[in-house]
Amino acid sequence: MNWKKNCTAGLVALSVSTLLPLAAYAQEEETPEEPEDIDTTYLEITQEPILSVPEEIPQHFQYDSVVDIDYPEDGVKGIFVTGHTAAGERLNELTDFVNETELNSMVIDVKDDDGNMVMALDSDHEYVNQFTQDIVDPEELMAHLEENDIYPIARIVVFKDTLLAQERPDLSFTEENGEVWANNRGESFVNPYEREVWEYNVEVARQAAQLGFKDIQFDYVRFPEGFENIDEDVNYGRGDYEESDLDNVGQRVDAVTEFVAYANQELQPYDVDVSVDIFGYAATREETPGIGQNFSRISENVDVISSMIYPSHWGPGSLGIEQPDLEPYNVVDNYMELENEILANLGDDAPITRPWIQDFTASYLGAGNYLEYGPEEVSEQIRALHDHGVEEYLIWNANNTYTEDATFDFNNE
Amino acid sequence: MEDGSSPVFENIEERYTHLDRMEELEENFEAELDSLASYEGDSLDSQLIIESTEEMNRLVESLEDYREQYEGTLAQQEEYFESLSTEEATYDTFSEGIQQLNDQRETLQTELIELDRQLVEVDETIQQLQEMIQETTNEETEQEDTNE
Repeated sequence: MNWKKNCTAGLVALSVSTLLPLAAYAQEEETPEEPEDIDTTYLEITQEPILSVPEEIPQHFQYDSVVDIDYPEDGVKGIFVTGHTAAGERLNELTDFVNETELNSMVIDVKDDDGNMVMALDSDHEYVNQFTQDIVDPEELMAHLEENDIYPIARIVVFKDTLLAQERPDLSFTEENGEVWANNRGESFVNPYEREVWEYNVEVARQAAQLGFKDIQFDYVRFPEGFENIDEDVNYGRGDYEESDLDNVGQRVDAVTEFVAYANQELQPYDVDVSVDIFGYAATREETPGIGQNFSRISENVDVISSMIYPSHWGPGSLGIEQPDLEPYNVVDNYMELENEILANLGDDAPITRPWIQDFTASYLGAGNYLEYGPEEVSEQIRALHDHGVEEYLIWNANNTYTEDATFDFNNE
Repeated sequence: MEDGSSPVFENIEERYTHLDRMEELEENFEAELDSLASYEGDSLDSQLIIESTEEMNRLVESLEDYREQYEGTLAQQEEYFESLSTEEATYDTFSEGIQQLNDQRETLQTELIELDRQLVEVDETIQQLQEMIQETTNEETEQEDTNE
């Protein structure tokens, strides 16, 4: 009967011992999400990948665009440049302006406010190619910026995208009659709940990074303004958020935040910073009910946060100021009190702050409610930032006509 | 990583050791199977013994097959990690290697699921054999008691 004992022991040993290599095999896995295990009797089989691309890609393996422009030592101080400006003689004028001042960066449209790619991108994506207007020669542009040591930031307008909305109403918001919803300026948005929209915009971002842009700046990362007033009246899908237990506001915040996190993760291989433009008022409240922006949650997922704190965009009485456009220093001063507190609470997760400031005259506010913005008003905003320890900023003028005599750096004043 | 002293190489080495141990167990198991197959008595159901040994042989073959495939992927993992330390390594080397290893792992998982199924069957067979042996042992004991 000796064979019986040996045979049984052997069988038992076999079924247990063969698991050992599998246990070791699993040791190298490190993924934040835990997929379900496969239902088995003896062997533990997990569906997790053996390896995953880490959040921080080692420098050695990051994509090298071969465009050599360092992060400005004194912090990014930039201006906005449209595709048309970047393609013409105006670029040289603006380059001179930047070279002759403490400015050092340009935020250049790659995907504009209508949804056009303003330069050819090396992508196989159907819509990237369909909506490309070959306005700018990207290689020439990058060579020009490199030659002048101007830090290039790619602006990508994300969810405001009339072209894609018209092409794919199913990715947008539609009225009862089936027409694509548009705001009172005739602009349509695509739906932040739709993963396909995320992937499309991130593909644009990847291509911009490969061209040599050092910072990918996402703008209009939000639902349309006032969406809380129309969200029950327009038709749209909720994608992966269909089963969410959150209310509409919570779902919108989740969708917007998670797009940012996704984009950040997807761009890790490219050695670029990821930045997001956000409404200034998002920092003044926990959540924006309509547009889905939560300042803290977006900030945690980006390298740079750019609040649009244009004095003209604050309503009367905002930030304790009766007529904000008349008090550029105080608007920025009061705002930065709030923002610095939020960023301090984020600790190590806090991004660089690089607010957008105003270099345009908001005459539409009506007589007595606005100032003619010039050197003093622009300088005052920069001074207020400096007084709060903020040395980075971006100057907005939609026509790219900038005040040249402002004080752009208060460190030497 | 270049000198192979990284924990990842220790992990690979550890898994090679497990594979060696697995091979030893296979050999032991095969020896037991030979012992079972060589049973020539008439107290046990010979048909059940034949079927059982065939089934267990299939398990051993599957285990060998799995182990060999695993050994192959382990070698590729080692090669992959070594390649990361070379100057030519790029992001594509890094990420495509990860993808390739994950794909191999998926293939191995299919084998593992099949192995699990075979283990269930073999376990049932072992239980049947044990019951049969127990019954035979009891009968023999009763017989001996009666003879006394």
